[in-house]
Amino acid sequence: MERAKEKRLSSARGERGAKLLFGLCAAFSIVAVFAIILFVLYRSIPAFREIGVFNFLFGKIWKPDWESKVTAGKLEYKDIFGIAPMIVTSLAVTLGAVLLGSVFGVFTAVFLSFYCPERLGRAFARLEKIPMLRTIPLKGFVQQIINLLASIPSIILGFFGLVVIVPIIRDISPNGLGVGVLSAVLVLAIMITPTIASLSKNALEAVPREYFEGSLGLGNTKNQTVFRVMLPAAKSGIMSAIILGVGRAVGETMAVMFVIGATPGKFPTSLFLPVSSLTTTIVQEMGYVSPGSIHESALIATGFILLLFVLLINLVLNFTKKEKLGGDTVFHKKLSQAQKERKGEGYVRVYKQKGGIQTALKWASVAFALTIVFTLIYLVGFILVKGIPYLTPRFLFGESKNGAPMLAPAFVSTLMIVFMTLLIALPLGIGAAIYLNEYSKKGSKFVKVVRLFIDTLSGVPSIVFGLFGMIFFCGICKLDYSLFAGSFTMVLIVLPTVIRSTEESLKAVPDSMREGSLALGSSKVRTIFKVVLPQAIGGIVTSVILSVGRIVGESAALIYTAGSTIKMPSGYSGTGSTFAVMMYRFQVEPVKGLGVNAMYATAVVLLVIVAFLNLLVSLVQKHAGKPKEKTKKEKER
Amino acid sequence: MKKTLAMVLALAAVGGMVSFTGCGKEKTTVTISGSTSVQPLMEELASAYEEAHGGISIEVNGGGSGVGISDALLGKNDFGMSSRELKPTEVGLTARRLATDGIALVVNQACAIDGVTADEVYNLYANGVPIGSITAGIAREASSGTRGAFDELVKNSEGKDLTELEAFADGTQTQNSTGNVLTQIATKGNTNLLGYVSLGSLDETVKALKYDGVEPTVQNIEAGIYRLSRPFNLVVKSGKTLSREAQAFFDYLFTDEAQEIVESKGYIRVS
Repeated sequence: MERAKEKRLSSARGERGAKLLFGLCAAFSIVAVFAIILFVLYRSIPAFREIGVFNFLFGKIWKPDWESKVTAGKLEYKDIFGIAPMIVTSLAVTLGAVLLGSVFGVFTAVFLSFYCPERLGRAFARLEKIPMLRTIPLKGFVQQIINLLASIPSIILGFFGLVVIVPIIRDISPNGLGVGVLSAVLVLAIMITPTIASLSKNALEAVPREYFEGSLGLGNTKNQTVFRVMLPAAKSGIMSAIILGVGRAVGETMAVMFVIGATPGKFPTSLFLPVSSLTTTIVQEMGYVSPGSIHESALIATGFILLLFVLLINLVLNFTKKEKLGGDTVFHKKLSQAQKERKGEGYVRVYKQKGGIQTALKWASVAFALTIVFTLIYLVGFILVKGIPYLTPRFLFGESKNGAPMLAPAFVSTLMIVFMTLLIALPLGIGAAIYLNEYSKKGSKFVKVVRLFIDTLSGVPSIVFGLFGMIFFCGICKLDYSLFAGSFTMVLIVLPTVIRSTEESLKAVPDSMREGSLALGSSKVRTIFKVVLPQAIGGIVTSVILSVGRIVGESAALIYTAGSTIKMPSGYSGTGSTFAVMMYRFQVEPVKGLGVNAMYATAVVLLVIVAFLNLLVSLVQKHAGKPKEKTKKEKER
Repeated sequence: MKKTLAMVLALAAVGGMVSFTGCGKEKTTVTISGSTSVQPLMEELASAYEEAHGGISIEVNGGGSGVGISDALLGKNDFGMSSRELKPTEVGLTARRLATDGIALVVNQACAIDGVTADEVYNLYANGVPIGSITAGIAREASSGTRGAFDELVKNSEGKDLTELEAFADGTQTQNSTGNVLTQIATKGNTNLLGYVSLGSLDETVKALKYDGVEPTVQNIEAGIYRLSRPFNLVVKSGKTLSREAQAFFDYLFTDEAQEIVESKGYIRVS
């Protein structure tokens, strides 16, 4: 008896310990966000103090090479570090990209949700006769294309912008330059369109089917229904998709760096003017600063201002998300209000005309979606055609030497970073997801705060992660440029993905399984590890693949933490470059005899990896996701 | 639970293996970082040295002159490379000249212009005054050694140099490496751009211009008539004792053998 009691007591202690452990995992995101804000701010303070916050924010001149003149007593710091033109540029380029990206994204989402035929045969009657083509799953294909476009590393988009978009702009621009505001807007628009498209599609599909049927039942045409009923009903979801796009665009570094012209101290007064944004200035000059100089601190302070923008955007996003539920009820209210006003008439068809505008909008959505699809096919095709001839076995696996860099070290470095990152991020992320889903009570304040911070963490631009990693892991932890520092920085970047993806699949596990296990006398911890987690393996695997994708494509955060050597890494405390960093290195220091072709070849490797990972995700979702969806649906019934 | 434990152990084992394989076959490494202008030359010198001395690995990283200097100060490298003289703020370091380099003004092969004057170059970068078909200049990022030297050396008729400018003329774009300037200039149809690169990095994809009527050649720089030139320096923390391997390589750089490589690559030797 005594023994049993003791055992129960100790297991109760174990239970409490487990809960605490999971809670700590969940709280890690909060710590991480605060650490990022505090350390970046801490290193910004010298700049703010010497320059003055007002002069820094509103100054128009950016001349770091004048710093020695300050020491000579000719000038003051406030005269040489002003980021006003960069702030305006970042905002202007983001605005342009989001306007374009949301038009393309939302119309593509409409096309996918309402107009895209499941199979190719449905699209054209003539094709119906050709059995081979008829069965091509068109909708799935377009969806895959959008997913692939969403996961293309930003350095490849920037490179594509440089070799394809810039020459086109050069031909039409009056000053014959090509690089500048417009090119940056276009590249960023391509980057954020798929994000806006998939999130808007989710929002559209979340609108109750009854709205659609009801509207049709009232005699509206399909086009009227789509554009006057469904789209307004999904308004808040689409808004959060667009705000998320704003966050991604304002923090993007690599894609912009290639095409914007990067000249600081210029306001974007013309579409064709080379200018510099907050992110480009950081990435261009960080490598050149002397340690402890005001220039270094001013660049970190630039990162801090960027971080503030992103935090603000995140808060707005959080606000619109809260509105989401309300949004639909508002729509309900409007409906009932309309019913009341027309006393007895009910809600009748108000659009008398045949809906010419809506028909035009339908074709617009088809056109926008096709443009996206062709852009991606062109991008991939272009890079493959240009890059494959240079993808020799020697370039892939040969020994990388001074003056003759090869890709072999990138395989090793990438694998090492992937391994170390997952080793830390997986337990941490899964632990947090377990806490959020298994231990939290409904409406718990702590959980709300944790969720807010996870969202915030996922919105932090990678260049800011890079700065933080450089300050904290390389500097304060004395890791220097090393694969350790790079991996630890990547942990912060992939953590939100791991948590979210795991949590989704935990949610899909039916409660009856948990209850069954508990009823059989298993402890909660045992239930979680033996019953719940095995069921959620699909989500965990997905999170692993998504994380690998993030790591493979990341460059801005790794350059300042893991270095950009071309040599084989000597261990975790040595430096190493992943494929994307190699590509950056080839851009900064073109390879003799290969030049830009080394970038094409590396881009091919990156694209192949990304496409393969995308394929894996859809396979995992097909095999592990489906049965669960069924059980979820059964539960609802 | 046993399964989880086994998995964790297996992971730890693999992790240990990965981190130790590196240490096992480690070669003696000399780390050098800094100016991207010096880097191509240093890479040539390093591979020549590596071939002659087995078992030694020389890691040449870029980053820029500032990085080379800061890394030297912080002990992150064995020694740094800089393509400019030390600034008054950069104390506690000793610089030794490895070579002298010219800065060549370059245009597209199809560009009709053969030579420019200092005044024309100044006015292009400062005020956007076109030179024939050339309407815009390409600058390097702030604190690049090449840019620092270029901005100081290009003076207009009143003796003002480019460092005095608050900002370059509209249309000036900034590229963050010698290689990128070359790529931009060499792109077909870009006859409206002027750029500047290290003389040693000059290749046949672009056309080098006469500056005030003088060809950018090693002879003209040695004779002192081509005025766009600057030093390639090695930077060591004052009072630091280099490792045996690093000191050996450092000494090698000033031998006749190494200086012949310097010369053969289009730079001006110091000894």
